[in-house]
Amino acid sequence: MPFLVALMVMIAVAIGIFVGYAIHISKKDNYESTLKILTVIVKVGMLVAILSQVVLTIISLIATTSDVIIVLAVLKQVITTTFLILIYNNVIKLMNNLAKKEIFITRNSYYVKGIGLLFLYLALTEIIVGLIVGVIMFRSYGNFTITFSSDSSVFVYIIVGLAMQIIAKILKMACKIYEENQLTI
Amino acid sequence: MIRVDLTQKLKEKNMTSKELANIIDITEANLSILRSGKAKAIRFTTLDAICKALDCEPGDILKFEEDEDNVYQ
Repeated sequence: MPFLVALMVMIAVAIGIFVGYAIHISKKDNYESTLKILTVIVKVGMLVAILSQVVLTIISLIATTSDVIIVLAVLKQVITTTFLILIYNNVIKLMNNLAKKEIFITRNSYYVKGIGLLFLYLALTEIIVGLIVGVIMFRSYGNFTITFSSDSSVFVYIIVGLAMQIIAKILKMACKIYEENQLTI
Repeated sequence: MIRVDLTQKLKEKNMTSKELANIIDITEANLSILRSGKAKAIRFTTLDAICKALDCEPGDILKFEEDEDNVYQ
């Protein structure tokens, strides 16, 4: 148990340093070096998120007792992991385009929109699963509680998803303006 | 739509697109965009340079053509 606590503290400190460094380099004006470092951070961050989802799937398999809840938990983890992989795929494509200095292209706005939609789907998954678990708990124990997630990540998913939709719209508009500018001779 | 029609004036001046692009200091690719009608806008400085090079008025090279999808029936 102390090993587990030490491990959790180490992970928390590592993530803290990780986020602090991301904030530090985001404030820099150098496009290329900032993008290069951010790409590495996003790649590593997303891979950690995907791996943590896989670990959570295994833990949920071991820890849960009710049969229906086991199926639900595994299903939720599989869906979440799939969405995270799709988000990772879109992020990598977006980062590659940014690295090639292809910034104002319509494809990028579709990637951002896709990422936003996937975050909203993640939120929807959390809500639906939370609702179903709530109903099952009510039928079993007479105690109805909707449990979205232990860390309220559903709200983060919704905010990120909606923010991405707004960014996608702005990027689409920017693409149009950029194209007009490029075609002004 | 407004089209930039340079063909006749270039013929009159016995000039090629490449020569015109060099004189007005734009790339051949951009001149091609201008001639093909893909350009969204033309800068006054570019129009001024073309008119100087071809010794003409803006009206001689800018033509209005009705868009097929804009024709009211």
